[in-house]
Amino acid sequence: MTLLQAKGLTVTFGATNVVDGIDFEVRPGGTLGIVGESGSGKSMTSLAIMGLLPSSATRAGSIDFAGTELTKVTERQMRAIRGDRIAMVFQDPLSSLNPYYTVGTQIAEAYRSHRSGVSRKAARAAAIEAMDRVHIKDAGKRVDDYPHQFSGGMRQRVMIAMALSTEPELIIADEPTTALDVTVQAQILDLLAEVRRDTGAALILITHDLAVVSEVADDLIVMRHGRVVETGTAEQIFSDPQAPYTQALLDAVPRIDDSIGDLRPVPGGPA
Amino acid sequence: MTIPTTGLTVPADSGQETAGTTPQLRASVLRTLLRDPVAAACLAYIVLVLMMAAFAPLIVKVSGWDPYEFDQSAIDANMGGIPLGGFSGSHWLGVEPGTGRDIFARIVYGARASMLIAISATVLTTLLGVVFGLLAGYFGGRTDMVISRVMEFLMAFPALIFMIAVLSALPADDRQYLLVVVISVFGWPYLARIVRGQTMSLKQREFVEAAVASGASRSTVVFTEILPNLRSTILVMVTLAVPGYIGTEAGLSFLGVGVVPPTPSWGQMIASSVNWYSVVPLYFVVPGTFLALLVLSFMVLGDRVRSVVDPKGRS
Repeated sequence: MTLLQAKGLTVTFGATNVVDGIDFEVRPGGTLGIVGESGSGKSMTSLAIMGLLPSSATRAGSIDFAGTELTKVTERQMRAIRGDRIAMVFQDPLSSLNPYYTVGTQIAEAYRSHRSGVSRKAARAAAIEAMDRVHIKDAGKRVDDYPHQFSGGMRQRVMIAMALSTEPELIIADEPTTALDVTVQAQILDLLAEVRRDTGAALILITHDLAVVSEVADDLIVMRHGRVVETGTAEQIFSDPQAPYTQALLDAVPRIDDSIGDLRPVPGGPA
Repeated sequence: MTIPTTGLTVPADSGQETAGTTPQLRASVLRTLLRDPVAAACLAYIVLVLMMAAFAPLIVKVSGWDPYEFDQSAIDANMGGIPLGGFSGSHWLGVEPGTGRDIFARIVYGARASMLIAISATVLTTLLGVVFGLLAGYFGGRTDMVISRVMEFLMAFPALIFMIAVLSALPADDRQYLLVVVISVFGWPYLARIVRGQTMSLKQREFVEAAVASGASRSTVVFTEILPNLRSTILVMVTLAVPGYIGTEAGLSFLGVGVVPPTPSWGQMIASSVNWYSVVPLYFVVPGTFLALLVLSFMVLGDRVRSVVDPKGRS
């Protein structure tokens, strides 16, 4: 039983394959970590699932989402899926919120756009409930605040609340903690894990940070140059990495219990 | 093997401080403006002229003279129609030389023509400018190319000469409407260019991407995500456009292709005062002062509005 299954997914810009025939699957309620360095094609993979690739890119292969072939649906059908059944959390929570609206309005609008016939009042209540669920204190009051009145971590909570409000089956979090400082990162990861437990939504967590996936992910794919270099459960990969690249990546991470030496960079850049 | 993350034990609710560093921009534009005496004076004068325009028939009843009424007793027929006396109790701002029509009444009715034309032209150019600017900026590609070429054509076109030619060639019955249309056709590209540029940069922002990712349609993105962010730009452009169009209307009336006599307009009064400037300078000074103050008020107010809505000067 899989929720999302990609087969031979390829994204091409001109003559370059930035994602080159990758396969992966996400179980309902499971967490898939996609790890890789900059330019490895992680973000393009998520945009390919959402059908939000730039117009200069072409997509090939198949993406099966709960029985729907996402590469074949019309734009209108895709729009109904986006935000409702598949939600996305972006990297930079400051620029992901429109500075002109209160956070409550933004959550409520996202909710209303997928629930026709919901009154403004009910949508507002749903927004408050979603904010409560991501542990924003005084949600009833803060619902009328503007994004600039929130700190970075709180804004990311708002983004997660927005993603949650429609009770999606899959949440794609693209570098959700990269713009945040380390202490807040841990809170956001805990929150994502909690949300997943409570709502049963599956999660695709895209990151370059191995520490992040080690906390949350069940399954892992390691990408480099648009290809999958290693697949497996998180435990397996962390304890016994097979690919030399994964090995090198793990070695490049500084360890708090290790003697201080030079960090080891991974040789070779994006093709 | 697990990789340790620093601070995993931090309780989930410890980082909930509010970051209220960015100043609240939109809260009290009007209140800030009213606290500034210069801006308040400008606003007061504009409101006065607007009231004059709106209640012209009432005001004229109070002052006692109709703008079209000849008062032969107020001019000296033997001296070629020089007014007898300037400001007085019966003719508050004097009378027109030659005809004896009441200048105050004509100023009041002239405000109607000026404000009506300037405000309708501004509404029309803003509408056209915002819509085409948004379309060009958001959709880009071929749409942008077509709209941009049209804008460049209109901006490079010798608009004044064209206006004079068109307005003098067409029948003068509905000159006022024609003026609005002609001014708007040549006016919208100036706003559209700015809107286009800002839209292009706004659509790259992540909140637009986030809205698309949450399933928003294209029109929702354009009108609810991008348009509100253009609010301050549009506000400033509008306050600067109104005085420009007042000046254009006065100029066209001065050149004889504006509002058709006997309907009064300030530009037309200035034009007819030219023949009398050495004998009756007051006839020139009165409409000139009203016009200059109105244009100045709008300009200054526009400038103040810009500094209030844009404290960082990021226009």
